[in-house]
Amino acid sequence: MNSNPLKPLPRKIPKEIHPKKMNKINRIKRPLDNITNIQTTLYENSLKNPRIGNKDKKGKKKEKKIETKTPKLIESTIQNNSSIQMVLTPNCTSTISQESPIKQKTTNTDPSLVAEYSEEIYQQFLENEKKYQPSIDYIEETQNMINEKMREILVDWLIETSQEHEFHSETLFLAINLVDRFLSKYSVSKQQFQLLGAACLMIASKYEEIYPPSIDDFVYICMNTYTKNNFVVCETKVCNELHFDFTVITPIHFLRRFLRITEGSDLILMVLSNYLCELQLLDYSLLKYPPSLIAAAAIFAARGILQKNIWDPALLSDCPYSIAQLRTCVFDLLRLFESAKNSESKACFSKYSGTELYNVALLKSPSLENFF
Amino acid sequence: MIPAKVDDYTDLQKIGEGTYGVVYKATKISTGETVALKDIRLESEDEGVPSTAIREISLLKDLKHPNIVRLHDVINSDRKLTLVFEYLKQDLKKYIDSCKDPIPTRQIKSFLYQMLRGVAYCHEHKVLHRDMKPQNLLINKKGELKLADFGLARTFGIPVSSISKEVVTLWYRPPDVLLGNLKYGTSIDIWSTGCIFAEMYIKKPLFRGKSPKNQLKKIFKKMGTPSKEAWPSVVKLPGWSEYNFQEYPGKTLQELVPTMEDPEGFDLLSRMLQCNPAKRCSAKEAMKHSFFNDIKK
Ligand SMILES: Nc1ncnc2c1ncn2[C@@H]1O[C@H](COP(=O)(O)OP(=O)(O)OP(=O)(O)O)[C@@H](O)[C@H]1O
Ligand SMILES: [Mg+2]
Repeated sequence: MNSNPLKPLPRKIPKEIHPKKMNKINRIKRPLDNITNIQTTLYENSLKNPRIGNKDKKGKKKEKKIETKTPKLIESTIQNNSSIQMVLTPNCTSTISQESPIKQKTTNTDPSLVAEYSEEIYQQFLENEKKYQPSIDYIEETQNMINEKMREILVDWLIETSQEHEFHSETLFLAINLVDRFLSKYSVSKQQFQLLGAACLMIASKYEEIYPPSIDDFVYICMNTYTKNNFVVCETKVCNELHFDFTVITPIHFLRRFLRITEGSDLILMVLSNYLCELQLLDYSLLKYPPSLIAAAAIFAARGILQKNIWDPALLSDCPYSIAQLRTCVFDLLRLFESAKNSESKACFSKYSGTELYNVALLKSPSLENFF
Repeated sequence: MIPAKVDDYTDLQKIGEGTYGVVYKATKISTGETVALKDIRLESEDEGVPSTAIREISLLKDLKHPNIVRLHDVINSDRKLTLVFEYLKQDLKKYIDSCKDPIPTRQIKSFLYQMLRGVAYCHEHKVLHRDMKPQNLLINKKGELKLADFGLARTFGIPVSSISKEVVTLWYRPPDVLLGNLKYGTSIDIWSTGCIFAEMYIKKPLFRGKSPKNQLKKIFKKMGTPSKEAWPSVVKLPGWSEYNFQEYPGKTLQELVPTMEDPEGFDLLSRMLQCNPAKRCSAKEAMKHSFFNDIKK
């Protein structure tokens, strides 16, 4: 059976490739031969996609570049320099230089996090996190043509596209939530599957980003497989069917808070738990876990990988779960962490294998006994 | 559920024109209920649903509070998007303009308290309004006041350093944002609310600048140029060295808002109109201020 959800896209060379982009394409090495034809095309699409129109609008291009070297969440999570502590593990060779943008960024406390409302906001997140979640068995119940593997390929492509466009994590998580919720209600054909993914990413970027790409950019991202009008129609359909309920609580929302709570929180821990949350997006079977559980489990799993005291009492008492409730989710994340090293879906793994993100994806898996 | 249609409404009367559409008063045929329809044209955009509409709708759907305008329905069809709101008689701007006598202090207190309650609710839900001004506050005959126009609102989950600076109508924009502070948070709405508080007494906008620089000058002339002692981080803001304002001594709030009289009111106003955002009070704190001791809560 053909498991590729996305129809072969025209192998067209984009008119203008930004020179900087070209470098990037050459720099990233991936075992292209091993991946199916379609994935290769997809992979190239997203890489070759020039950032049309964004450049002029983004007056702050330079600053933004620096920020994106680390996940967005880091900046707001570290409260001051003193909490940054390097952890050097055998596989992690990079160190933070004195001029690290992260360090500079962290000296200013983020007003949105020290605000006196943080308790109310956390409580309200917990109350509402289940409000806009997809059904957990829609592939079996609703879809005729889409399977788990196809979903994984689409998510992988969305992760890659988001990275290329330097979207915030929130945008990516929202986009995938929209895809899953739409698929929970309507059966979608293989031909329309990528359109749905791209349209959801477009909606999410309109919701979260300051400078969302234009529809033309998205047409281009999909290598002209779909027309501008296809996008407008698909967007309207998603908006209507999901009733414009886009204020969605995702693991990222909880991760920020939990990272502030957990003892000995450092950069590597932050990057690694962010990675685990992103990996989880690829796995349909993990839709069953609520966002707060994923976020908490990601931190405990990361603590395990980093050989810290795993069940940090501070985080245990702050998050609404017991060790028993957390354990299966932690194991699932560790399983994903290990299998990502050999998976065909490479976007997330490659992103977090780079030295910019401290090679966290290459760390050694811990022994599960440590978790008992 | 049958999707709502524009045909479900009759008696359309234009009541306002915003930046991206027209607002009508209308009657819902099935119930006789009066509503406000905000039409957003899509064909001019050609970018599908505008991001302002995406945010306004999805945020308002989750903000249910007596001091926030209710969004009843959304009609999304054929290149046109219509938002169906509960109807309120007037916006605060029109009300202020229509009052010949000074607005009674009790009335001002009640409006301000309701404004703060709406703002506090938004902030508790991680939402910044970012466009507080009299035109965007709606009132009805019962004396209720509700926050409207969430077109510039957004959640503050994303590190604020990357939030847009194109926010808040110039006259209600706080000095730190005018100086280029992109790390603003909830304090942005408090400055605007403070400006409206004063405006209800003097019946015209407190600071009416023509450009960001001119707006800052107006603010500093009235409030005094902030000193590095009172606001150490001000020197790091890009506009500070660029504009290099002279040190205006500033005036007293009594001079600026002569009709206020109430010392409690001056105290509260001074806490809201702090140039240094870190010193500005929160909406929740403002609600607890003794200025409100004598009103029904
Ligand atoms: N629910 C309502 N009931 C009564 N009048 C309303 C209502 N909503 C809006 N209006 C009127 O229409 C005007 C414009 O509405 P609104 O601010 O929501 O639109 P906008 O396009 O965002 O405007 P702008 O961008 O110019 O601020 C308001 O100032 C108010 O006078
Ligand atoms: Mg308005």
